[in-house]
Amino acid sequence: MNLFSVGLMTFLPLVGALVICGIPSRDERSIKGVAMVTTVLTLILSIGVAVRFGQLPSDQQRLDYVPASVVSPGDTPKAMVERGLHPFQPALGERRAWIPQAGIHYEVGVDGLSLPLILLSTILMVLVVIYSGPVVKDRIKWYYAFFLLLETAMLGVFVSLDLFLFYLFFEVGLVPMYFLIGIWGGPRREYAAIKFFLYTLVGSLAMLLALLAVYFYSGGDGRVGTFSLLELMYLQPSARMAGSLPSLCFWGIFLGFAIKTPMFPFHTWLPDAHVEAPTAGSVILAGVLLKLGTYGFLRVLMPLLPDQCQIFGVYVVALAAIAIVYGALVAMAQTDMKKLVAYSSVNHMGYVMLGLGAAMMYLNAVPGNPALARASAMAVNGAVLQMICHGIITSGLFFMVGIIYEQTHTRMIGDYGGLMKVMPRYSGVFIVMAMASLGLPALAGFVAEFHVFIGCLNTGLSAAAAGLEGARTLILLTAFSLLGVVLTAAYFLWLMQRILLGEVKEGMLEKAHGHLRDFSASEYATMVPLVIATVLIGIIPGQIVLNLIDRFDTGLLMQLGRMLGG
Amino acid sequence: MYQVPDVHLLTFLPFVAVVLTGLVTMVLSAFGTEEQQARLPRIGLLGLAVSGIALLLAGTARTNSSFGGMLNMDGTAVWFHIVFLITTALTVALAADHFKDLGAEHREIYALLLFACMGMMLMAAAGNLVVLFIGLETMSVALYIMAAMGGRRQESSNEAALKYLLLGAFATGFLVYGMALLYGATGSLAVATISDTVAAGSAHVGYLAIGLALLTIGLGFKVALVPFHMWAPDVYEGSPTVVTAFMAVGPKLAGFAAMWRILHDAALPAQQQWMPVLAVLAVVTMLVGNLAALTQTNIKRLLAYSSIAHAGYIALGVMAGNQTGLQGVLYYAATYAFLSLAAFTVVLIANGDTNEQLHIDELRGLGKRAPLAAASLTVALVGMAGIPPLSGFLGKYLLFSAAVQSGHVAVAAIGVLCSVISVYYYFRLIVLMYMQPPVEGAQQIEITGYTKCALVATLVGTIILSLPIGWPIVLMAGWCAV
Repeated sequence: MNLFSVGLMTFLPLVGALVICGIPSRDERSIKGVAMVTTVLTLILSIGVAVRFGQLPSDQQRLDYVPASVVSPGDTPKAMVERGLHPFQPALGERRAWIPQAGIHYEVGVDGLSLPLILLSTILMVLVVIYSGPVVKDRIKWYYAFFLLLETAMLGVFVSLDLFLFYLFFEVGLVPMYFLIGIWGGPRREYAAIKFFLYTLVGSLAMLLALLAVYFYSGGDGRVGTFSLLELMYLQPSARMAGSLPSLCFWGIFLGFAIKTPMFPFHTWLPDAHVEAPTAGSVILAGVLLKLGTYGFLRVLMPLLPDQCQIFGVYVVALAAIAIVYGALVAMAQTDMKKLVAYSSVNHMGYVMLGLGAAMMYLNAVPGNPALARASAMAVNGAVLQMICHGIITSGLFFMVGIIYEQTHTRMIGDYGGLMKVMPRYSGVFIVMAMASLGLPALAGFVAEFHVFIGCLNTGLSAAAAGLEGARTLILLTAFSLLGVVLTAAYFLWLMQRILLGEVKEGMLEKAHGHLRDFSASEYATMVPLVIATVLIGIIPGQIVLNLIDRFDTGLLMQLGRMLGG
Repeated sequence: MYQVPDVHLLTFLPFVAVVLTGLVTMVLSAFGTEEQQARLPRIGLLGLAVSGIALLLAGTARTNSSFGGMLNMDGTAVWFHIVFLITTALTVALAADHFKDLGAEHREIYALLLFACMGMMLMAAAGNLVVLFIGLETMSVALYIMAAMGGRRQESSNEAALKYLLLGAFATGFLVYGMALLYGATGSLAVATISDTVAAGSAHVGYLAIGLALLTIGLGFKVALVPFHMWAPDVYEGSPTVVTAFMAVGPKLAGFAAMWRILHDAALPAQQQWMPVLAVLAVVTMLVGNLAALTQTNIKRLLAYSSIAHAGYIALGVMAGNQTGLQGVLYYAATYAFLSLAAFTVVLIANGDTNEQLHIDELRGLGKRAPLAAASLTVALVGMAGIPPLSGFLGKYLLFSAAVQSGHVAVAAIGVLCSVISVYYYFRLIVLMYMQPPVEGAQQIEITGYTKCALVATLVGTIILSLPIGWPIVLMAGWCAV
């Protein structure tokens, strides 16, 4: 049993939360200490897991790895799964019987998709604890306990390979976030908290019903159904469903993840939740929780229902295109900085969905068409990279808004002006983050968006060359989405112009009691890692994450394609 | 020739323990000294504990039937008995601390609680409709009296008791008539014989259908399925809170146990007849219960409607009538017992048993005034809303998946929708407790003695059912292997 195991990493924050519950609330130093130690240890564990993963032979760096010794000659993994066996050995995986009567197992593992997201979560959690130290003063015991519980839930989602377990973690995260918004939030926190909760719950319960249907169809003939994602991927129970049930399942799961992502038109909870949440809550919400949705599309929806994805992929692309342009336009109209960043999330998560949607459209053509395969993989690469980049950049922007808000207690863009003169270091970092978000080359955002757009366009072009249906629509929608890039540049540049440049506003200084201080030590400690990550991913994306992601998604697309192609 | 029926004392012992304790407490409450009377709660708890031990022995017994099949102590019965014993024990503890809030010290409540408990146990273990009826009446009569115990101080309590008595009697009429028709259809009152006759197709179809319908209506009153729920909010509101806490859990679950005995054990072969009816009842109950709860501002009425909604969820499991359904009903029964008792305990702590300050605004700032109580209520509400990892989630999961398994996907979908609605009114209370300042002049609340024990017990119970999620189910599945 290796110390750097997936299970230990996932549940360590929960242990930390329980320890914090046992400390009397007066003892603030111990509470902060435990929170810090737990998040740092979890970060170390996650790095350890990443290193172990990197040491595996490259054919084992996947979830559905089947050792040659397990398969007898003439047998296939698919046939083995159909006989009720479980031949898979996921990278760093663990599998234990949990409620075997119902086909539920504790099964975890990591691959090129989950690993970057895990690292993103553990890093952001450390930064959140650093940032919150001097800022949060009310009921800090529960504040940190909820954050640690949230960390376990997030990591749990990323490592789960059993749908029941996945759903459990997916839902568990709601409660701490509800309280974080509801107790430590802004003036309209009750409304925002319950709205966040109800929206997400509606989606995830629709998803639960769809998953149940898939589960029941995976059983039958005297066999219990299974919740194992890997088994379900090979079994493809939706093929046995009749009538409109497969499409209902698709839309059920889609709704669950689309609300979480959030995709247009299910995004309306997001601005409220972000504006009312405390800074650290916004950071985790934007940085990690939104990714649970897009992660779900890749991890659950596409493997379970590839044929439905192919049918409905074009709708996903259309919704994504609307989200990109609409999100950018609405962001431009905002007068509240936090709301602007929140709508920029709608816009940026749109890129992720654009890439995923494009790849969904031609799954069955992937194995026989190398050009299309390359292009689809590129679109998914971009989408996954965008998940990471958005996690880093938008978290950074929320931190930036929070840092200035702590001093001036206003988020209205109109109240600010000439920050460059009073807070030069703050302004410098702000410019880096905003530029990264608008997609300046050599910073992280550009690489991701570039991959998405080139991937989508190439997918469209190769599909058109192969005479496949819907290629024109895809190309047109991608072209339409490009408008979003211009608009994004416009609203961020305009934002910077209004708050950083120009004359120093007297009102702004008054609100801050006459003096604005530049970065403090804890603020440096929070922002520097994010700036470094943004720059590094912008310059050497391949070495950092892109190669890893690429191996994952070429594998996935090829496999789904083969399954559809027969 | 007359044959002496087989009697297995071991299977009968749990009942004996409860009844004897009930008799002792009754005598002491009338003739005992002051000192003896002060010990009544402890005697009651002791009796329940003895019964619990007897139950474990009964669970290991060679046979599970006694009195020629009159009693059927199978896994289902044992599980329900455990739930009933715990429910009664917690209510005894609450009564010890809070019943005096009403002014009059009705010490006979302990005896009545124990008799009601015995009645509920009989219902769950009934192998014969007569036994079921005796159990139901024992339970109901005890409850009619308890509902009126707030009497001298509170007119609402009298009103509640009268309403409960009249509607209860009405429901009993349906039940007896249903049993008579079932006897007419099959020629027997023994559950096993009825089942055989129905399976063989030799039962009179018309009588059977009408009999089952009447029985379902009669039990529908007891468990408060819509449209037979009208009494519940008024009675819950008017009765002393301690009694309400008991009423919302024990009799409701006993009603479901009886429903399972009749519809599943006796009439499973006729499932196609009663399944659609129960499906409709379940859907209407979930919808009405949850929607009506949205607008309530009286905490007891809110919990009353929420308990109606929960009856709807449990009815899904009975309707499905399959293995998952049984597991769901059993697991949810235990879960709901703890969650609901926790909620009512906090109502008692926050408001006392006076029925005067029951507006939900009284909960404002409870997070600061009584952290333990607020945390318990939060756990209870989150659990009832069915948010993982709390036990309510797994319970609902089992019930909904039983419904899906039996082919009622739309019904399950409505159930899921309803649990989303429920989040709104449950979380409204959490908002009041943690996100709003206390009312002016509100004081810190100390929680002591029996109440604290009861509160901690409900929490521990919920956590045991929630945390190592798998094992209660595994245990149960092995136990209740049908």
